[in-house]
Amino acid sequence: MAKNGGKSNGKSALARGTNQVAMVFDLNKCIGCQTCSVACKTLWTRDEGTDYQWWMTVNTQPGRGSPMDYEQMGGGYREGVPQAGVLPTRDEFGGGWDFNYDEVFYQGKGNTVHLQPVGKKPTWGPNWDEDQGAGEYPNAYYFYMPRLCNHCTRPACVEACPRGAMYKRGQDGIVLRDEEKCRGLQFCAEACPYKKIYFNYVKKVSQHCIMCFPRLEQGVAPACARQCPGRLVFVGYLNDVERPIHKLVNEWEVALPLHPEWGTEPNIFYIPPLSPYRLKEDGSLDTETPRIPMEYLERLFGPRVHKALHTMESELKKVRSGGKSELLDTLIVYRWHTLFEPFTRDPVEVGGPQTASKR
Amino acid sequence: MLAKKVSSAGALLDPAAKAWSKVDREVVDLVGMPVHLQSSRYVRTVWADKLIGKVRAVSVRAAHDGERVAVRMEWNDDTRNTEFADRRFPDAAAVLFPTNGDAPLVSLGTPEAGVNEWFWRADLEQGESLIAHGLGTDEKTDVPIDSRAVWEDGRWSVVFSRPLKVKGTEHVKLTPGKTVKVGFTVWEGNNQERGDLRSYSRQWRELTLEP
Repeated sequence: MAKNGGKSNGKSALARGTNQVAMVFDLNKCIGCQTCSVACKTLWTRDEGTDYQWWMTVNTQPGRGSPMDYEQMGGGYREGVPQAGVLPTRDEFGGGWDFNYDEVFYQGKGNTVHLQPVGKKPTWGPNWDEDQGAGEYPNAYYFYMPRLCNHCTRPACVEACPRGAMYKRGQDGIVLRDEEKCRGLQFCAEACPYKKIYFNYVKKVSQHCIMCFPRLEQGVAPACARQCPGRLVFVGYLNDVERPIHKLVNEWEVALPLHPEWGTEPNIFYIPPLSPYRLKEDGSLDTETPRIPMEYLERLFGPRVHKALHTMESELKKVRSGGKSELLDTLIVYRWHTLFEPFTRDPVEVGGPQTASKR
Repeated sequence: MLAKKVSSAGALLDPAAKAWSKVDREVVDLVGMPVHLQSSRYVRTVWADKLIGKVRAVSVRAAHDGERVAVRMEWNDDTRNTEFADRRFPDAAAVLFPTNGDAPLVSLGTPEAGVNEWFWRADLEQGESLIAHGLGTDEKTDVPIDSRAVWEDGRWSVVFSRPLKVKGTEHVKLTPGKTVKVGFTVWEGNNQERGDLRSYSRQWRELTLEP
C-alpha cells in the first residue's frame, strides 16, 4: 500500500526532511478509550494477515506494553551503533483472536453462551494488563500511553533493510515500505526498538503505520488523531513555528519523545503525565512527592521530563492565581481544528479511497 | 559437473525418483556469506560474531532431456522450517547462473552483470526465477521454475526444473553440448538465515549439458 508514497521525493534512504510531520499526545488527557486504536484498525488492518496488527495501541503504564516486554527487546542505537533487536512473535503481540460470533449471535444461544475467543486460549493481548498499573493503595497509579510508529528522524528500520525497501520520504518525513521490494526478511522489525513493525503472514511482507499518508496528502489528519474524543492528539509540521507542535516540542519543551536513549529521534512526542500528590499514612498530603515516581517517568522520557513537568506545574500555578497561560490554553484546545492545522479537512469532503467502503 | 542426457527430465522432478540414482553426484562445499559484504549496517553489526551459513556442503546432480533441465540439491538440515514462524524463517536454496560471464558470485553480480537465481523456499508453492545485480537487488521475473522438495531423515532434497530455452536475455541459456557457470546457495531458516545471510559455493563451477 505504500507504493505510491512519493518515492521520487524520498528515495535517499535517510533523507532529513525539512518538513517533518509530527504528533504530540497529551497524556494528561488520554482516557484509554482505544478509539484511536479502533479508528486505525478499521481503516488499515482488516484484511487476512493483518488481523493481529494494531498499528495504534494504547497501553497502561507501568505495564509490559505491546508487544509484551517490548522495552527489553533491543534495537535502536547506542552511541550511533545499531543494537541487536529481538523479533517479536505473534503471541507477544497478542490479538488476532477468532470469536464465537456465530454461536452467540445466530444460533439462539445468546442467553447461555458468552462471547469468547475460540481455539487456543489467549495468554496475552495488545491491552492485556489494562488498568493494573503499579503502587499500593492509596498511592496506586497508572496512566495511558498511546503508541504508533515514531516515523523517526534516524529510522533504524530503514537502515536495517538490506534491500532498500524502506525509505523516509522527503516531503513529510513519513517512513514507508515498498511492498514490491520487501521480501519479508524482517530486519526492520528486529532493528525497531519500539517494536511497531508487524509481519503480514499472508502477503509475507512487513507492515507498519503509514501515518495515514493518503489522508495527509489530501489535508486530512490521521484517523487516530481525528477520531480521538479527548482532543489530545496534535498533528502538524515540526518546523511550523506558529502552530502547537513546534511550540510544545521546541519552545516550551514540554513534549518529549519516548525513550530518547534509543537513538532513533522519534517524531511522536508526549506531554508527560502530572499526578496527584502521594498520601501519607495519616491520610495527609505529601506535597513533595507526585504519585507517579519521577524515576519511572525519567526512565520513559529521559532527564528532560523534570523540566517539562516543572514548566507544566508552574503554568498551572500561574493560572490558579488568576494569570494567563498560552501553554495551557494550547493544551486545552478551545478550537478542535487547532489540533490538526494544516490537516483540517473533513474526510467526507475529500472523497476518494479513504471514504470508500472497500479500499 | 555434467548434466546427464536422459530420456525424460520430467520424471526427475520428484526428488525421490529412482532415476536420480543413475545420475552422478558431486559434493560442493559451501561457505558463509562474508559479514562485511552484507549491505545493511544493522546486519553487519549484529551478525559480526554469529555463524552465517550453517549448511556447509550440498550434494548436486543434474540431468536434461534436450527440452528441460533438472538440477537436484541435497543437504543436511536437522530442522525442517517450512514457514515464517516465531523468530524462524523458511528454509530455502537456489541455483545461480551468471548471465554475463564476469558477474561475481560473492556479490550476486554487479549493476552491469546480472546473476540468474533459480529460487526455492519451503513456504512457496512454486520456484521462482530471480535476477540479481548485486546483494539485496534480486527481483522476481515471470519465468517459472518448477520445484519440488522433500525433507526426510534430516535431509532436504530439492529439484529445480526449467525448459532449456526461455525468453529474456537475463535468464541463463542452456544448450546441449555447451558449458555454463553455476553456483549454489542455501539458507538455514532455523538459524534465522534470510536475505544475504546464507551459505554459498565460493566460486563458479562449470556445468556441461551432455550432448
